[in-house]
Amino acid sequence: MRTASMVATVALAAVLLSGCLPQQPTATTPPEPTAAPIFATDEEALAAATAAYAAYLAMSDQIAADGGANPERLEPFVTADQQANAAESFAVYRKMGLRAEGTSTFDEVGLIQVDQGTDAVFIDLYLCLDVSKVRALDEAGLVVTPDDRTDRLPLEIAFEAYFSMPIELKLARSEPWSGTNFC
Amino acid sequence: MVRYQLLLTAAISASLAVTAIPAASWSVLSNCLPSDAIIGLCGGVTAGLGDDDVTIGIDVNQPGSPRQPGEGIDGGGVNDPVPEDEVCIAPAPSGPCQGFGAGRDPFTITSPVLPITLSDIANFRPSADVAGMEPNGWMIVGLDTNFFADSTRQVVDGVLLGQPASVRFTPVAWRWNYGDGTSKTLSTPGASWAASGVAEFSPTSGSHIYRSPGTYVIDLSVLYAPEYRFGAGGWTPISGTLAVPSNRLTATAGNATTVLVERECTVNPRGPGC
Repeated sequence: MRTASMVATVALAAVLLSGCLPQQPTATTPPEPTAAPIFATDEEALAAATAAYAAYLAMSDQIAADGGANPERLEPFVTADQQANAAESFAVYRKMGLRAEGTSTFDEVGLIQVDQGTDAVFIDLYLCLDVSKVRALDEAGLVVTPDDRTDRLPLEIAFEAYFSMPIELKLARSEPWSGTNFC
Repeated sequence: MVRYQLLLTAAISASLAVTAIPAASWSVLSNCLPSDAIIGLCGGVTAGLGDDDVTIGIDVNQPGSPRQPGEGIDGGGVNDPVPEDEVCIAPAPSGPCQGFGAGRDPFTITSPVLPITLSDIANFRPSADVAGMEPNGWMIVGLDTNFFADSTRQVVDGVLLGQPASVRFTPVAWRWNYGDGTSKTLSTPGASWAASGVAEFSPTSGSHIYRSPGTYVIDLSVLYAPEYRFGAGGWTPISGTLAVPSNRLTATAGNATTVLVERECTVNPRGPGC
């Protein structure tokens, strides 16, 4: 009996090892979902960043027109670092009694690179910021726009977004373009 | 610190009853926000393409209608700078427009003309840059491959609006498509490892790392900012940039393995390890 049992065990083991048991349809673990890139193409990323910059610029102009009041209105558009820079910039407006009048624009937008990671996307672009249609006024309403102000500035802009729905691109960097002026 | 300096300057300005913001006395910010730009705090960029650049001075809202003296962009505020507008597309051999530069009479308006655009200079083409890479024609997976371009400012002579003219093209950006799904636009042309004074396979401003073996097609487009001039006049920028494709590079990426060989493989190609 013991021998028979042993033989049966060995036989079962052999069958298991050889994989010859009738296959039951088993639910296989689905592969880990791979994070699809947020933007299918560079053009899509550029379009999203361009739209985000337009929204950011409109709000920045609005705060500047209000003499720098309530700069926290910029928070939905920028990272915490940039919000600190913006707060500092608008504090100058308030302390000097300055306000802006007019609309800033931008053009010559180009993509530097798109870096789509597993949990975030980074978009770098360059553009020409144009403040030629904006003037600075003092408290008395006198125009105090600096005579030697550069009206068109080549900038390097970086946006970042962490995976969330909806995707929120936030301005993370805004620096002068380091190369030759293309504006 | 910058802000304190700013405030100090503001206080001095107020005491002297100077209403214009003396931007030149301020420090330049590395960060440049639109709100900074409006009050003249953004700087540190090249003001123009050339060392003798000038402003075309045509109100973009009204092409062909030069602003009148005293009529600035901002509608003639009390602190408007003295207007420097003039339209001197085809300067006379003598007169206020000659040279577009110093000595011009800011109050002279010559016949209005439309601003020159990229389409006007379609016949002026800069020659393509030569894109280079090292190692030449191959790369090692996981190590930096160095890409660079031989870019120079170019002057092309021709005829513009019926007048002999020159167009100067200044390279301003280098757009690389590395053929592996990534691309990058750089503000410098890059340089060879030797010219940069670094060891081979070092990272450089123009280097790129390939992650898998294969054959890649690499394309470079150089963006040029154009300026034009008539005769010996000053250079006037033209709005926009012109993308000029360079030669295409094809290269193979492979894995590198270090093996010990008895003699150099060039000497004994059949030796063990070669």
